[in-house]
Amino acid sequence: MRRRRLRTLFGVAAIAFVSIWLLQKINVLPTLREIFSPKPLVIDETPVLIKEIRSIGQLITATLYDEVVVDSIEITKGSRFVRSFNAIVPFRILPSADKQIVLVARGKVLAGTDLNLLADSSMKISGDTVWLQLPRTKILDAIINPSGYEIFVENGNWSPQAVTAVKLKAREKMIDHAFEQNIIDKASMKTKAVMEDFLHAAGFKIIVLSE
Amino acid sequence: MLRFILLILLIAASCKRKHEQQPDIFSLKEMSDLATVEYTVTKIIKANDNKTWFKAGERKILMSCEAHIKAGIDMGSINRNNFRIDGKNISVQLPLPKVISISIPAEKIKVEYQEVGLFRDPYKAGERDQLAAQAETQIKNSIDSLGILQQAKANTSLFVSNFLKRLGYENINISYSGKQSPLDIP
Repeated sequence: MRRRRLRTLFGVAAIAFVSIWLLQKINVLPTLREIFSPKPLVIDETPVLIKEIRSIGQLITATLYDEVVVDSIEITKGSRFVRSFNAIVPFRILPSADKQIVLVARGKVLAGTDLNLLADSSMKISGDTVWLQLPRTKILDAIINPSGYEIFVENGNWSPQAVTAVKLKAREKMIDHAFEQNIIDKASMKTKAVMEDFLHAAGFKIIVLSE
Repeated sequence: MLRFILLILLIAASCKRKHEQQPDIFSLKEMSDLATVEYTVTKIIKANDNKTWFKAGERKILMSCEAHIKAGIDMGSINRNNFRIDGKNISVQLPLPKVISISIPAEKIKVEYQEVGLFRDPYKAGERDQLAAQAETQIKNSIDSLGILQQAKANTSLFVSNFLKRLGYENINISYSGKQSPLDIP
């Protein structure tokens, strides 16, 4: 009798356990970890408002995808004391109290030509020959969106303005990398190739391009 | 019964999560996109951190952001077959416009207001970025309703017409062909 009751109890417990586990697996019941973990911060749905519509004529011919690491350290009164204390003792006792931020930024640099700068005098046509002086190839955009940032270290309280300054440093670094990778030369060559193809297709036989 | 439960357990345990695709880093890619329209849009980022039951007090934040969205056509897919020339008359078939880039500059994201409860920590930079990243997703999702592709079509037609006029053509006919791909924002 007792054995039978125990077996029933065991069976019920096993079925209950498996049911709870399965319900958690299909996200009907929260897991213990979910109960004790903070809820994700979700923003409200707000409208996207159009501020300006601008006509442009940018021929984007090269893109560099890049990832850079930038950091910034601020020495505060407290961290100055820690530094001086650590300097007079034989080995580092106190941990650093510097305000420090290290971030990883992923983004892209776009280069090309602003065709809106094409002046009337930059184009000459004679029969099936066209002479075209293209505007200078330049960096058109350096994009690091919010999803491209990863804050690796953040010690101390950093104001939004101070963090923005570090992010701008990341963008500058990315542009420097793009110049090192000869993005301008590559974009310039590609611009010429695209324009040449277009002008050939538009019926011209001899195309003379310059920048 | 036991076999059935074991089978379900085995199937559930063998489910693997999908790995996220990472974009190529450190690569210089050639492209041939002609951007003809730039939209500047704004959005308010509003969040209230009061959903976690074991955290006393709440935190509210209100931020604003500005995004620049560029759209245009891929000049690389235009070739001789897309042109029909008859003296001073020309017909061009262009590819359908697409979104070329979306940019939310860091300096255009501003904290307008924040309220932090006595027992709560102020918002960290990482948390603010996370909120801005959600706004980025919402902006990307709303691109279709902004009419940027229709505007890009009109601007591209005007741009190409003006260019061909300067090349000496008088009657210019511009049309678009191809399938409108779902918004694949780079």
